[in-house]
Amino acid sequence: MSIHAPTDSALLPTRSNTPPPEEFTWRVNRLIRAMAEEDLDELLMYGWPWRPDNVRYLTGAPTIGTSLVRLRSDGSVAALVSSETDRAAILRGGWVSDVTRVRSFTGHHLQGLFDGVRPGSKIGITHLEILPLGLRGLIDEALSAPRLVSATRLADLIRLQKSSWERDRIMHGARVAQDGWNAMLDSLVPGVREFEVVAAVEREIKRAGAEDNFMLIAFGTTEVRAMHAPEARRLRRGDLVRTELTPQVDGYYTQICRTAVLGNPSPAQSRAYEIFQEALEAGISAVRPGTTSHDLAKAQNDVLRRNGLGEYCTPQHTRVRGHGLGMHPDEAPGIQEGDETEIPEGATLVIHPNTFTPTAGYIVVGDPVIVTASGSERLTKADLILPSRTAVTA
Amino acid sequence: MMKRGLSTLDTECTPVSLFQDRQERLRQVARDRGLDAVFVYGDVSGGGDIAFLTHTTLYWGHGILVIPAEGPTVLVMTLSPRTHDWFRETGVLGEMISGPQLGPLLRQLSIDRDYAAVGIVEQSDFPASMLEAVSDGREVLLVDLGSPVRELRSRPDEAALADVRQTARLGARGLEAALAAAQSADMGRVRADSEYAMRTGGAWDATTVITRSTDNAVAIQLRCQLRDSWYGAERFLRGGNDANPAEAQSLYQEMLRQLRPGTTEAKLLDSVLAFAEARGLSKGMLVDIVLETAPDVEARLVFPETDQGFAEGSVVHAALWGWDLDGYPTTAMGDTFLLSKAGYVRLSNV
Repeated sequence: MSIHAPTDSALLPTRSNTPPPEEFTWRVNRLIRAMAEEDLDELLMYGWPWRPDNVRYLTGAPTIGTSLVRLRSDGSVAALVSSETDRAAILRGGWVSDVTRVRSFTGHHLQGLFDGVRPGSKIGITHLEILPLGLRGLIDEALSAPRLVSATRLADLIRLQKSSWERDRIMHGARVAQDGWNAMLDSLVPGVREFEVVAAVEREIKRAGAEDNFMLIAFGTTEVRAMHAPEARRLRRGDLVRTELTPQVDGYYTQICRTAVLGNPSPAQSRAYEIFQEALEAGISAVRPGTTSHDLAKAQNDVLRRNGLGEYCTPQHTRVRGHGLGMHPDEAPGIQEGDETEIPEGATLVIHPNTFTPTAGYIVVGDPVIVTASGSERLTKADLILPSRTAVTA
Repeated sequence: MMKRGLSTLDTECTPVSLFQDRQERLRQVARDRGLDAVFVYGDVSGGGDIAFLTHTTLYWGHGILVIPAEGPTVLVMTLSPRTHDWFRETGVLGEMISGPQLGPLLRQLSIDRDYAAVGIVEQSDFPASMLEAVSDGREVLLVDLGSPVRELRSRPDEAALADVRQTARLGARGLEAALAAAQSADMGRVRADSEYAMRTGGAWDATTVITRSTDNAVAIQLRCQLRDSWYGAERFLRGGNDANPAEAQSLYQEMLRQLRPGTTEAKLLDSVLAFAEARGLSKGMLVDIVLETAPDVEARLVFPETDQGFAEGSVVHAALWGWDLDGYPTTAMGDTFLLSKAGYVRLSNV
């Protein structure tokens, strides 16, 4: 069991949130096509508390323990799980009825899961890169001369393109994220501690129906070079308040990035924010089917470079210019120069040119988008003016 | 997915020497066994061992703590170098190395430091490809050390027990808030208020999970973390009142009667099932027992050592769940306990 156990998504009172059967068919058919293209005989989704997302994609159910889910090329699915809670969740989901729960995985159990696998089969496993040694040994023991290959990228690319049902979840998540940001603005008073702000935002997001939230923050001025966890530091007038807010609704994370100032913004803060707004707009304008991750990053970095911030587009200061959104808050592709992943229609992304500036410290601004046939649909819009809390008197 | 609570190093509450001493114990293990270093793997969901040793939370992502037989501790992680200052402020660490892939980083570190023999904590749970990277083309002896950190954590010393009690107090705050909010039908509020109460108390992380039954009851599963200490509790409510059926309550009482040093999850389940069968209870209900030291450890371990039993002085979370055949909960009762010579001491009274 994990503290990160996702909530049963049957909680939202006003919307249908159980994935419909046709969603399962859509996913399985696409996975089977991808398996054929990769010449895979079998596909195994490996899930554990940190990364349950591929298992959820295939079963429709949130899981909390260790699980292996087998997809055969005929579309049948079987699951082996370590937690009764997970077995129950998968059964409630209604997509997969062949679920076996065992307290501790053994070779015998895996032989049951792999029933009918031919010797020498080529088997794709998601997250093979992090597969525990013991589990790897059991798989080798249970199968005859298996050819194991990573299916992490395969699953990433399949999940990159969202169904209309999935896109609806992302859109709802954007509204919840905006609610969370509004709650954050309300909580910003001089003297409030960082973790109290986070607690207030989490409360609002949960009230709005989110099952989880990925939230990064950074409070302070020019000394701030990165996001971090909340501490006991009290907010002061002049602090920039930055957050990446990423609520999870019905399994899907949607992210917004926002910066505010406690009090009136300084000229340097205002100027930095204008540059980042321009970079964000450039990135969003570049979104269309067929564009690459590299193109989207370059569009944003070019604005920063033009304004003398090229040094801060490097890994020393920043990571990506956005990323995919879905069942993991930081899905593929990471939007960065050099990544030639093609963006398909139906993908959901957050575009964010976040990085450090010497004049204002770390700045974050970003909005989620859905890739449409003609470009993109923007799900939220960061304020054009750095929002300030002019009423504060600290 | 990530931690969402207060993370700060209060050296009055937890002196740096406490973590240095814990690291030294692993250093001693390395020296005693002729090893160059010990590797401890963790991720955001299963980072309790690393938190125990360094007061560091892998706020997101994953990493490997390298404790050399001699010299400073190294955290190898996927979080970028931009986070190093923050890690330095909130943890007891020597060096930090960041990169997108842990395997190559660990390999390079092993080459640079000429590691020939390395101890692996919970080797069966360590990513295989990372160990392969370390020994690829090199003669490196990898020694499975079992669960030395887990064993230390499961029987808290005086300092750790103070943390456990504080965590239980925070968890009790969350449980009280959940029970108060459960009077309403707004389950979102139950989660929101409960987690808020724990986070504003200073929890590193807090989660309240709610699962609906088929008859308007809800199972509430609460978790609270402070450093490497955990508190867990379960309740089954309808309209804010206990909805556990009488027969399930008698099963839970039987579970508690069997809860003592030396017990295991399997033993508890056998006792409860035998009790149920002798009395004709729980027909049509799938009964499950959860017994764990800390949920972050148990969730990550695919191969738990279930036959050893928990020693006196262990802190355990024990719960009884009931499920119907369609996967909906029919009962949920659980709390966190300190195992004593006489049996157990419950760590909260909510």
